[in-house]
Amino acid sequence: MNTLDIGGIALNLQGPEHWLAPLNTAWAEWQSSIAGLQVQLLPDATLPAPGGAYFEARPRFVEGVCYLEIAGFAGKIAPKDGIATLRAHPAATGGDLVYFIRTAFALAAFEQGALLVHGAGIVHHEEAFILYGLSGSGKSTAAALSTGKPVLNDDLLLVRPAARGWEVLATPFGRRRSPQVTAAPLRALLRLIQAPNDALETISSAQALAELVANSPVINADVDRAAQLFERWQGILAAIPAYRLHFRKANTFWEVIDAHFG
Amino acid sequence: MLTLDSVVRTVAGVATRESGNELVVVSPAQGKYLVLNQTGATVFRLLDGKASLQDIAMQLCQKHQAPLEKAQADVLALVEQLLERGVVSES
Repeated sequence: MNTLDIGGIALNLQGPEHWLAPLNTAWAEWQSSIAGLQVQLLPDATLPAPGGAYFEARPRFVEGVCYLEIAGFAGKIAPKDGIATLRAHPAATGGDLVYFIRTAFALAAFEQGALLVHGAGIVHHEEAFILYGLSGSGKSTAAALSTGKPVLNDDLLLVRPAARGWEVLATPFGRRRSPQVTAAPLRALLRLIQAPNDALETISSAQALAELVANSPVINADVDRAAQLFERWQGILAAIPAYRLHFRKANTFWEVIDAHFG
Repeated sequence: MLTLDSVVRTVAGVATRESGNELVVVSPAQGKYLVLNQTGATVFRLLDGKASLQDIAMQLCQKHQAPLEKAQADVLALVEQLLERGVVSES
């Protein structure tokens, strides 16, 4: 079975072998046999040839259904119906297919009480720190600088409720380090700001909420899910501290984190 | 151009949430957000597509017993920011 399973949130992938085989190889450790959202990848030569990468398409929502459309691609994700379908021109690349799959995953995760977050998840003293921010904020740099620490992912993470608090799970949608570490309890949310000196800055709950919503891909584009998204982050912020982390391009920012969090 | 005679309304689909003493305003369509303090939140809630910015400045002036000129300047500056982020539009 071609199943992508991240922390029990599963996508059952269907499509031509030449599209699925590379994904199965890349995601070998994420396979399982549990049932989940059905994701159909359908080659369609009647579509115009892609004019660019699929990730340039922005999600559009109508009554809870996500449409992801651009020349060469027609994606529809209906989590309530348990199905996602991508019709793609045969010239679609592996990266294009992954973009659709991770968009479907973001919706499936949200429906199951979890959240996909733009952030680098770094494990320090057996707890996960999410260093978050949009493209260019320094997530990959901060992860690369954190030598010796497991990196759950340097771009996209799964956050879900745990028996005590919240936990962060690795995803295959980015770079990892020490892949044997796949999850850790969430300790803090740190918004990355590149700066001349390392420092932690206190921010209001509203500022943290706004920044975290902005870093919740796919879901933050849906007006109808906005109230639920706010609620979920407010639930997390009630239990987990959030700060801005000003950091320079050196691993010394961990000293600031240690001084504060112990 | 925005003036005190302008009338402004919230754009459909804008999501808001109170958090502490502040208001988070998010435009899902544009992926933009801003956080308003209590005064900003008061102004934002008065942007109903009926009251002019002058009306709103006067209400603010009465509520906070602030000089009218300052209230006018504050309202204009805030609404400029809201327009830039696409969360309100001129009626």
